[in-house]
Amino acid sequence: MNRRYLWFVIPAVGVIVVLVFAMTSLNDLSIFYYEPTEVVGGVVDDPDERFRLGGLVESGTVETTDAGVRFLVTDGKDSIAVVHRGAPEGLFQEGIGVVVEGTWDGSAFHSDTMMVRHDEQYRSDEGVYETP
Amino acid sequence: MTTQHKHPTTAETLRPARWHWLDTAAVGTIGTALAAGLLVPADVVQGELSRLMYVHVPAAWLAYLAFLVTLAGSVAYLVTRRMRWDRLAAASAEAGVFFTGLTLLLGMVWGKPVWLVWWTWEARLVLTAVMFFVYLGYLALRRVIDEPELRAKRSAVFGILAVVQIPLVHFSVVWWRSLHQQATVLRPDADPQIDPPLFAALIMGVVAFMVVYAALLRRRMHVSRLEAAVRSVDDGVSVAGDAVVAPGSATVEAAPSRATHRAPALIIPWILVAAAAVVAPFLWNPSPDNQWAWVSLGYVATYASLIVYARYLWYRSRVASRVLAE
Repeated sequence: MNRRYLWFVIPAVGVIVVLVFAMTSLNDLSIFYYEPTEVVGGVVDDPDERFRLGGLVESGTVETTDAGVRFLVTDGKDSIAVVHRGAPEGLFQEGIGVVVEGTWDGSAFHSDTMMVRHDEQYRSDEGVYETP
Repeated sequence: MTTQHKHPTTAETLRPARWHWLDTAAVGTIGTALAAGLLVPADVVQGELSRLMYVHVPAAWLAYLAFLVTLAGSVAYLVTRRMRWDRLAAASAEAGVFFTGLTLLLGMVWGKPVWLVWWTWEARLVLTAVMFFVYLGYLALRRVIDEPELRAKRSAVFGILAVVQIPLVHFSVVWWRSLHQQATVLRPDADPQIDPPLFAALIMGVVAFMVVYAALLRRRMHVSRLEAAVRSVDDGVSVAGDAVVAPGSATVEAAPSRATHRAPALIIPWILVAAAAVVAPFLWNPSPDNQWAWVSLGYVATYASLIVYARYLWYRSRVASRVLAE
């Protein structure tokens, strides 16, 4: 075989590695996280199964604990109590979107990994450009 | 742009690419865009980190544009069978891979302080990475096939098929539930969710990246012409008769028949860059609250990689024209 075919190695390995990681990762490529309504509805019934939960941090529910922070995550219909291990970082605040990873025991979601999910709005500090 | 090169090896094309007004325009617009990106007001939620949008989003759009130009060049080649369209498709694909890589890199630099992770296996990210490697496969295909017409034909088919990834990448955030936010500007409802001054900075970034792309494309196509001439010399083909006088006034026919001058891929430096990108986060990892550190990292990465790619094209054109001069 011509040695030049070695040029295909990097692209081929790249595509395969990315797809394997994507398919073996938590949840699904088309659904990165479940919303509280789905979790309450019983989409995951195994208390040991790790999955991702996403939604907005409900205003007025954030309390610091010894191990980290607890708050409610809501999708507007249902809310779930999240007990997170680790100090919140960066843009974490009331009202912002979060995706947490962990397990659900039927009453609370125990998370150890947090991602902050912000929206597609870009508004300047002045706030004088209110869209109608 | 330049005069039409009916024959790819006229004396002018055998010289290294000279400075062109497009190069001046590229430096000028990118400088202006840099200033605009750093001077406009910050976003209310993201703060200074929102400035990374002015390089990340233009890089992503230019990747789309570059691959669409590859599509156009591929179709035009199959219709006309003229090699200049093949060269356009190839040059644009290389620029597209460059901009896709830059998009991924800047996305990671933006993701770490905002999302709190460098990377995650989420639809938009996964599909963008796949697009990067698929078009890297296009570039690999061009290195594997030696015969110009066959290479042009197969690459054209590849360049046409691969373009289905663009809607897949772009609409992944609409079709699927992702971590990546929805589109701010190129959205289904066509109602940009961005305040005017921030939008102005974004548009300046996009315009600047387009001019930079045009300048890089011109230089890359010139490199292709030079290297095609080098290969025809290697093959012992009389290139353009007596008309060809290379710089130093030695005729091309007098060039010694050397081993094939393969285009230098400089794969080692690229591997070093990739390795540095993997190792760096362990050595340098400021707090998400240190926003200017992240913004600086993103801007430095953008300008440094543009300079490195431009230098690389200049190096290749110099190597090829030296070989022709011998």
